[in-house]
Amino acid sequence: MDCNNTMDWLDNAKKTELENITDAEIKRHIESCESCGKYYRVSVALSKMDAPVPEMWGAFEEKLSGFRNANRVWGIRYALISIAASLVVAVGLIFNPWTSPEKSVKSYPYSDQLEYVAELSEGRNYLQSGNDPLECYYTLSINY
Amino acid sequence: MIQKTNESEFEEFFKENQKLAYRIAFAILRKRDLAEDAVTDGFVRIYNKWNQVRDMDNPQGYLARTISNRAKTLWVKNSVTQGVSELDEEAVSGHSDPETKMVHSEQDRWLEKALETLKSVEREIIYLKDLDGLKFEEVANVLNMNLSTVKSHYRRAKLKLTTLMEDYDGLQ
Repeated sequence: MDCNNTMDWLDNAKKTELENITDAEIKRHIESCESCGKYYRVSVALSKMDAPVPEMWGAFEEKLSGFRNANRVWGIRYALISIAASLVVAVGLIFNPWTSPEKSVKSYPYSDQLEYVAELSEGRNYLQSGNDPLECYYTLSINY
Repeated sequence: MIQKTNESEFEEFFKENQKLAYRIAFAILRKRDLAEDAVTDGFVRIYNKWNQVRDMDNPQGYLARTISNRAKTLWVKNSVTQGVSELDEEAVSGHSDPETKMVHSEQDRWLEKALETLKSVEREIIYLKDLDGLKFEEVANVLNMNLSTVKSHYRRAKLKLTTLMEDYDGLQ
């Protein structure tokens, strides 16, 4: 019996087997080999370890209910935020000044001067008609 | 949200595996309250995915990974805020009354201190093998590791403990 086999045996042995080694060869080796003797002592000490596990079902249920409540609160928050966002979009679409036809004509600064463009496209010299050249250029740049 | 029938299945799963989950968490955190926190957090996560987890090939393995990840996160958080160096001796020894604790601490103090020096994976294996009495194959299955890796970690850990015991004997 060599050290490796002895340690293998010790690693696989149950607590009761460690306390009362029935295999004579293993027993003899442990008694004669210092390092295996120490390995045996560690194995026995580990097998005697005792660490009670607390009952955690109650703590789990408590945490779960907290988690559910938090989820419910966030669910309500998300719902309210979604409703508010939808309302903002809806109101924006209904009262949007840029999409209203009346507003767009009124807010267009040179929309009433479109005849200049027509004049230009017909080949007339709009500068001679006494209009402000800058305004005309601006109208042209917007329309073309 | 899970159905009522699944809920009783989950409760059974919880009660069967809370011990294993606690060992894994404690091996990493070394503090009872933190280990309990990690276990309950991990089980809440499992609960939310129970319909998928119950159909897995190895739900125990999934639980072990979840608990281990949660424990590591808590360990980092706690070491940043407080430091987790102080060992919860009562949780390892299981002795709470001062008298037993004193006798115990004289006999096995070295073991508790020595366990602290091991890597968390080595402690996990030792706890599962020696405290829970799992076989190597079961430990490998739970931790999703090769059998030979588990065995070599276990052997290495015990050899480290042997060296530390020698040091302790030398001081006596």
